[in-house]
Amino acid sequence: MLDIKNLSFSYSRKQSLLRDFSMQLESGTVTGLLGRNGAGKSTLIYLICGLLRPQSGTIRFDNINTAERTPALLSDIFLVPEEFKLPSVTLEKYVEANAQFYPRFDRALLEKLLDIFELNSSIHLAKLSMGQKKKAFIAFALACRTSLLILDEPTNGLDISGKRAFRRVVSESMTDETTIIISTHQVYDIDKILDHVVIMDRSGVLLDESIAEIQSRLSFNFTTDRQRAEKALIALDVPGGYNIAETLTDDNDETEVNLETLFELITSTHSKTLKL
Amino acid sequence: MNMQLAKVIRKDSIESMRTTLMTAGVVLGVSFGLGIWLGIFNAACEFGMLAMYCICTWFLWCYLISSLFGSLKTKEGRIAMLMSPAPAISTYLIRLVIGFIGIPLLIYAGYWLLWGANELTIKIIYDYWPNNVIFNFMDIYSAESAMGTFIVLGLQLVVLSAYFFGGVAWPKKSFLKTSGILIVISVIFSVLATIIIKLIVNNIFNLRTLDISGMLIGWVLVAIEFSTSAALIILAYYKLRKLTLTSGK
Repeated sequence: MLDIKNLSFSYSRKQSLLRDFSMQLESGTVTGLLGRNGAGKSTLIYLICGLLRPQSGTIRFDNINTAERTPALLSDIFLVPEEFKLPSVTLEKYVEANAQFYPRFDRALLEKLLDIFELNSSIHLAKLSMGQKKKAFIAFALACRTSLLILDEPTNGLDISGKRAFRRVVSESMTDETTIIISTHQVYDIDKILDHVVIMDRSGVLLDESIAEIQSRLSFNFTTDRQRAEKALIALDVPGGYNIAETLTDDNDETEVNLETLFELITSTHSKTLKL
Repeated sequence: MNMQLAKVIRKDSIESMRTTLMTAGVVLGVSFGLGIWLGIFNAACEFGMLAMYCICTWFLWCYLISSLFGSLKTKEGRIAMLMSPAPAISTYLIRLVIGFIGIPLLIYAGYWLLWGANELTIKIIYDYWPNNVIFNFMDIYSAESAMGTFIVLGLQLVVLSAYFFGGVAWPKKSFLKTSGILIVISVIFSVLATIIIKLIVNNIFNLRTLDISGMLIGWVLVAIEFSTSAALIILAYYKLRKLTLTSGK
């Protein structure tokens, strides 16, 4: 379990980025970490990984302080940053060099995931496009079977089939012991695989709910009816009508969560006081 | 610890093989080419030339040692190094060995290659052996002046340790930054030393009544040099261990 308590962090003395931030994530969940630009998502990720040290507060993963960055802890955490650099070797060599650090590394799973991404382990990493590199790196990250996997903007640079393959590889690799955090702005790429959503801004966590819980309280629909849109909790102007979020009542059915609408509902100023 | 070290060696040897081979190839290739080039013009490698080679390779050594932590220059490289599940001591020890044993061995091999290629080229083109006796580095560390030897060694070690430390502390442009700091420190020390010597000469401290020999001052200097080097090398480790994504930026 990931347990963040009263976390505060700033890059400069003048402006604090995260203040008294707390959050808990259970194992076996795929969590979407959403927030506006500059909300501190990447910073939070770096703090979770121990790449930055908090000014105050603690981050514990399975009761270990991540700021200590012990080899044992690092062999159970994998970060796929938005931008990364891979060595100029074949994927086979890369696996040979790095898999040894991850005790639960699953070679068969890697082959399976590479297959889904239409790659093979003989590819030379230096000769791949950014999107292909990302696919190879994500496949390796998932095959390491770490308890915590953090993906920062994983679908950036992936083509349409790559995005679909990404959703499939995450679903195929998920176990009860794994916690996956996906930070992204591309909400439509991941909405089908999430089972938990955290929406944050600099003031802290605005929403920390399971998808099931959100579905049991809110209904997300598309409507052309202006009056219905005006009565909704939020209505987003989209071509041909409105994407709306309404309180779920006996009159309407449970729907899939529209992350974009949910995000706007939670982050828009007028609805900040709204309690789910 | 040994297991972790073996894993890091394996990882580094796989991922850095190309860079290592290219660096070694350039050093040995340039040395070999230079030996042949000089031989074509019947210029035998005499003391002056080899001394020049030593000076150039000394700067190369300083540059290479300051680049050992080059992957920390970029955010991506830093994340890769910091997220690697290896203890900082393993990463550190490997670079320490490369910097203080691997690089000098490479330079020494280049030195012999330069001399050998030069001798052979002259023999082939001009049909005689120049028979230059290669300058033995060990000559400067003669048994007669152990103190002098240690002063030279100590000074070299201080400079190299400073570049090693600089590589961790300021990964971006570490060679230039460390050089700049060393120059400033040298100037300050030169000024201070001049003032102190003047004061001693003018007997301000009344030191003439004390029996302080040149040997004692020399050994004190050696002790300062070696302890400074040790401090810098240990500091580099602590700096690496405490490194975050933003430190040293």
